[in-house]
Formats: sequence, structure tokens, C-alpha cells
Amino acid sequence: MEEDPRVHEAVNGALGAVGRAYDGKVHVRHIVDILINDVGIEAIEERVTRRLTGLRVAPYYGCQFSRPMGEFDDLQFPTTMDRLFQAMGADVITDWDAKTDCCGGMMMLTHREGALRLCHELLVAARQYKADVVVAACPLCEMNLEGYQPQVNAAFGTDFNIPVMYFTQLAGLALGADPKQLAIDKQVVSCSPVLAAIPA
Amino acid sequence: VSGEEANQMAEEKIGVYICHCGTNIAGKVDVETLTAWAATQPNVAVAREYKYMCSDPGQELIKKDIEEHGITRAVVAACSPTMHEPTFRKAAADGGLNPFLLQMANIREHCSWVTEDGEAATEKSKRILGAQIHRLPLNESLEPIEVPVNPNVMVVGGGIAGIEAALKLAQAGKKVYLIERDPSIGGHMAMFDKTFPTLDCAACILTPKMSAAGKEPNIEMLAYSEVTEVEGYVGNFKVKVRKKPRYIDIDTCTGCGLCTEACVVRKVPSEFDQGLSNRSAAYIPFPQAVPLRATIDPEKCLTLRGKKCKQPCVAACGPDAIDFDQKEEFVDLEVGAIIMATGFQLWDPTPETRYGYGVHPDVITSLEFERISNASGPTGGHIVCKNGEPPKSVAILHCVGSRDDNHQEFCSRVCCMYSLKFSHLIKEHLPETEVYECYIDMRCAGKGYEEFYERLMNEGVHFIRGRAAEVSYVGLSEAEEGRLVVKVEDTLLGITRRLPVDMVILSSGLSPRADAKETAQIFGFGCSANGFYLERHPKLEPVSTVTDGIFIAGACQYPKDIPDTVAQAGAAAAGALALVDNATVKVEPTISYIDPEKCSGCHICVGLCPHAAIQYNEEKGVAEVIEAACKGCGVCVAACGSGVPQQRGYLDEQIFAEIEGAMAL
Repeated sequence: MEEDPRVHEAVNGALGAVGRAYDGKVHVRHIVDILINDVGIEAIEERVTRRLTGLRVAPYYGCQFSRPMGEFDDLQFPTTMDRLFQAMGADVITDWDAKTDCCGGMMMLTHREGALRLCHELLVAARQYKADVVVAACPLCEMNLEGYQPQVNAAFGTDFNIPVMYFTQLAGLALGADPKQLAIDKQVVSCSPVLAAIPA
Repeated sequence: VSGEEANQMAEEKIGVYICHCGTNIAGKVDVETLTAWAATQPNVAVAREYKYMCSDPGQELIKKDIEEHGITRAVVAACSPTMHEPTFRKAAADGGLNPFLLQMANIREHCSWVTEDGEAATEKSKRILGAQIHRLPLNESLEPIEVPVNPNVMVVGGGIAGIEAALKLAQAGKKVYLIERDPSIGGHMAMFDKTFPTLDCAACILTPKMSAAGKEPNIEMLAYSEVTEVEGYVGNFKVKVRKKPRYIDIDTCTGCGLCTEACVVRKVPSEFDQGLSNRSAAYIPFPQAVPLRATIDPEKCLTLRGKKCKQPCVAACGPDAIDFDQKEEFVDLEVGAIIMATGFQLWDPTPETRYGYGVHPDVITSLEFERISNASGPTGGHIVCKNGEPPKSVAILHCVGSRDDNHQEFCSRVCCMYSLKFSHLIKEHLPETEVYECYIDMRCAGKGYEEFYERLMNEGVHFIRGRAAEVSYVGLSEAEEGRLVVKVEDTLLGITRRLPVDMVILSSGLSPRADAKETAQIFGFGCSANGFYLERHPKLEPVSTVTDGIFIAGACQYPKDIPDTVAQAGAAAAGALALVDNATVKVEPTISYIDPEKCSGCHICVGLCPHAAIQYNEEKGVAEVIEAACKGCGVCVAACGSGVPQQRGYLDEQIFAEIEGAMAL
């Protein structure tokens, strides 16, 4: 809308019908971008009260993370979450090539077979790289990878029980938040091995 | 325009010649209308149109009109003057007219090719032509300036292109300075194992040429040197070359290699082996190096980095050739022609993260594979993975960085063929190993190339038509576990495939050298949009540049295989020879002059002239143009506050007349 006045006009023409208008000035940004580039890794590091020492973390970015233009991270091999959790003391898996593979997204509702296959591949990758926990940058990725593990196991005859968190949950732990406050006790796959693995 | 000039203008008889250029011009511009219009313009005596003005009968029209109709000025409305101005000026001269009384009106590149609407194109062509008709009465007769030619030639770059060009010129009896940036000549070809499609060993055909270049009395080799400044003009270039310090006296060193063995810094990644082996800080890049002399790497040598070292190299050196106090040296050369043969660099596949180069150790580049398969390479010619085991299967991924909107749009031309060569070498060394080639199209255009492809299809190589999507380390089955998996869509079968392999070779494209633009700037020519050196004409002048006397050869112009590179090197040598074999050369007289009556001696132009072609005459207190050095760039014309310097052929009144002519409709 900022770049093309015709788009601006068309949008506001449509909104005008219901007595609304939009100036197109809102910038949509990813929360990881804000944490890394506005707050800054050093400032975050200073506030860490519970270091994630020894925890093997697989940062899972998903396929849309730095799309479409790659404004704050590489399109195909993003690393911002790697740096965030490294600063928190975790043993971050930096070289796993599945980090931007698709989790199936909304296909879990419309084409479950395909989405389960994609989640299966991701879980295989997480296990192969010996991840203690997968952290996702997108809530839908998180839900697919965690919530559908029983269905993946049923479909592929596997026994996955890999903890998956939204990245703010694990970051919250490191910054001293109460696990309950972070709803870690409400996960489908239990995160108690994660809690047990990091020093209190 | 004064009264006298107006009178003179009235006496001029202008001939107008409008070219159809087949349908190139006539397809858009209504040439009949344009011709009829031109005939009504002031001073125009004849206006003609012809299908191809540049053909013999076309040129004949101009000559005949000069002779029979007493035409005193002419304008050819056709293509760009960079294309055919010399052709038509010669025709005018043949007819007895001073060539500078003929002008070109570019109604092709500037009009018919870039205008969609025919009527608009015709109107525009009138303005372009009108500008020239209007300025022609003000044109002056000019005589070319004849300058002596220095018979020596400089060749920049010691790869196969540079070596070939230097040898050819030396054989013709010319003195050649061969400049090479690295410690040895040889370039990329010296790194290769075999060459496609004949499979002759690269070293066997290259090293004799390298050593011939080293021994040739007419070739003065300046290895480990770089050109820093180029001045002058066709036939008379002045070049400054920086000889980097080797910290070895090149005349005393015998190339025995004892210093390289004695050196304590032993873990420097070898450039020649693509980092797959180590060299010492004192090193000879490869055993066949020319000149076969040691070099000490100042960034690695302990002594040169100011650290403590017992200097065992000094003790080991019999002839006492090591000199830690050596400094860089600048050499001034004078040459008549220059051949640029600075080559290419392999496209670095790191940004193509989906292939995992730099992440998975067994994902390697084509140049790395060249070294691995080479008998004198880091593995002694054994094709092995990083763990030392021979691969059970190998995937070769085509078009990495090439034919890709995200990276390089162009086809690198050599990768299909070298990939086929790799497949053959793998099958030859390891007959049981499966080889997969993932390609978009097989481009095997060249003598014996398609036949080589046919041969490989019968050697059991799997050809999969599809650009590889990804190389993953995640195994979904037992067969995949612990191996690399290439994900690819097989567009012939219409399925996606997962290929478990132990080694992935990335057939990376060829890129312009990282500093190609700066280098071109030093020499005064340009680069194409893709970054390679720009030739003067893509078809008819592929080895010339816009700067007279500077030629280009090999992959610095565009990706090229060895046969094409050698052919182009010969052509560049012939171009240089055709120039320096003459005692003199005629240079364009369209240069600047300064009227001593008007010059105030303020010095502004003296300092601004990029070619040092203006000197200050202390005695007369005025600036003077050195005719042979002036390139007619016009900087002084624009810079002078009083408008004193004027460029012949581009005088202020001529330019204003053009503008008036263009605006007159």
C-alpha cells in the first residue's frame, strides 16, 4: 500500500463502503526479529537467570520464517534463533538442514496424510540430530509437530515423544519465568525431561 | 550564426542516405515519408533510401553523388555510429570528401528498435536526422593524427588464454610482457585432471606450453605481479606493474623446494588444491610451476609476521636466496597493445544453502573434485570421501549458481561437459559406484561433445532430468541413514526421488573475477551486465574492447571451454599483431584544442585531465593539449569556466546546431 497508490486507493475504496479507512502504515514484523534486533542479544543475555546449559535445542524455523524478502535473516538457512538460544547457554543444533522444511501447515486439516508425512520427516531429523527439544517460531508449526505426534506414530509405526515448544516458552524459562506461567505443564508431549535437564 | 557562415551554409550541398536495414528500421520507420521530408530540409541536395546502405551498392550511392552531384556533406541515417561510422566515413573519403564531413543519424538503436508505434518512430527519426542535417554545415574537415606504435605487447593473465596469446606473439617476433597475479602461470587449467571430450590429461597438454612460455626469449614473465595503472592510448600505453615481494631472490632460487620442507608453518590451506591439502608458508604452488621458484607467504610466515622463528628455511636454502627485507617493486612498461586474459572464478556455492556446501563435508565443488581425481592431487588420484572411503554412489548436481534468477542468469557453458567427464572418471576409477547426474538440459554443443554424452549414457550413468531441490542429511530409511540424500524431481518419470549418496559434486558455474569491474576500470573499458568484460561487438569484434589497442581473450569475456579459449587467444594475438606490426597508427582527430589567445592559464583543466594530456606552458602562461595523448573525452571542455577548450567535431556551435535541429519540427 505504501509503494502503490492504486492499491492504497482500492483498499480504502472497499473499506470506505463500511465507513472505515486504513493508512497502510503498520509494519508487520516477526517477534524473533524484535527480540534480536530491537532488544538485542546482549540485553537478553544479561537477564538470563536459568542457563540452558547442556540442553540440545533444535531451532525449527519453518518454511515461512524469513519470507518473503528475507529482511532480517537468510531465506533458506536462517540463524537468528540459533544465536538467541546460544546466548542462553544451550547446545544449539546449527547445521540441521530440516530447519526450514514444511510442517504441513493448514494441510493438517485438509490433507492430513501429506502433513503427517512432513511432520514425520521433521521428527526423524530431530531424533537423528539428538535434539532434547524442538523450538518453533510459529504456533501452527508448534501445534503440528507436538500435537500430532501420536497420529504420526500411529501412521508410521514410530515412537516419537519429542518435546516441542513455542520459542518464547523456552526463552521464558531461561529468563526465569515460572513454567506454569508459560503453560509448559499443558503441553501434549511432556516437557518434564527438558525441565529436568536444565539446572534450576 | 553570422552572416558569413549563413552564406557558406547556403552553398553546402547535403546528401541524405536512409537505410532500411532490412526490416530493422523500415519495419517501424516509414522510410519513404522520412526521405521525402529530408529532401525538403535546408541545404539538402539529394535524399535517398536503400535496403542496406552498408553494402557495396549502398556505399557506392554516396561516392557517386559526391562525384556526380558535387555533394559537399553527407548524413547516413542508419545504425549506431559505433557500428558503421568508420564504414561510411571511408566511403566518403573514397569519393573524395573529408570523412569528418559525414555524420551518422542513429535511427535504429535510438529509434526503430526502441519505439513500439510506427508513426511515433517516424516522427522521432525526423528529429534525429534533422539534428544532423542542421549541424552538418558547421562540420570542419579534420585530418587523422598519425602516431608511432610501440611494437611490444602486454598480456595480462597467465592461464591458457594468456599463455597461448603470448606464445603466438612471441613467435611473430614481438616482445611480450606476460603478467600473472599468482606465483605461477597455469591458471585453472593446471588444476584439471582430464579435459573433455577427448580425455587427454590437462597437465600433459598444458605444461609444455607453460615451460615454452618460461623459456621463450621474447616473453618477459612478471609472475606474482599486478597492473596498477594504465595510461596512454592505442600504440602507446604506459603501464605500471606492482611486483609483489616473494621474499625470495628469483634469480638465485633454484626451485629445489628445500625451504618449503624446512618451513615450520605447515598448515596453510593450499590454494592450488582448493584447500584440500596443506602447504607451508614457504611454498611452490605445484611441482610444474613456471617460474619454478619458491614464494614466502607474508600472512603466514612467522618471521614476516614479526614472530619468533629459527628460520630453518634460511639454513636449508643452498643458494642463499631468501631475503626477508625484499620490498614490493614498481616496474614501468611501454607497450603498443594489451591483451586481457584474466579468466574467471568458480561460483562459490555457499549462498545456495539448500545444497549444504560448507555444512556437509562430502558436498564438494567441481574444482575440488578436479583435485581429488587428479593423480598429483591431495588424494593421489583416489576418489574418496572425507572419511577416506570410496563413495558407493555419487550425485552430480548441474547448474549450481547458473541459469538461476537468484544467482547468475546465464548458462556457464562448460558444466554439462565437465560433469560428464566426472561421471566417466568415477566409473573408470570405481566401476561399482552408482553415478547420478541431475540436470535441467544437457548442453553438449561442441565438436565431439554430443558423442561424449552418448558414450556416457552407455557407461551406466543415471541421468535424471530435474534440478536438485535439496541435499539433506536426514535419513528416513536404513539405506539413507548416515548418508547424504539428494531430493530431486525426476521430470521424465513425473515423480520426486530421494537419492541416497556418499558424495555430492556441485557443478558450480563460472563467475567474473571478483575484481573484474575495478580491473576493467584501470584499463579503461567496461563490463557487461553479467560482470564479464564487454567486447566491442558481440559478433564481429568479440576480442576487441571499446578502447583501441586493448583486446580480451578467454573466460574473462564469458564462460568458455578450453578449445574456444585457445581460439580466442589466437584471435586476440592476431588483433594485437595487426596493430603493433605497423610503424604508425592513425588516431581520431576529434580531440581538444585550447586557443592560447583566450586561455587565462588558470590550471583547472590541467589537473582534471584524466589522461595527463594537458600541460602548462610556463613561458606563454597558457595550457596546451598534447595531441597524441588526448583521448577526446571532453572533461576539459566541460570544466573550463571560460569555455576555452573545444573538442574538434564536437564544438559548442555544432552541438547547439544539433539541438536546434532536433527541436525544429
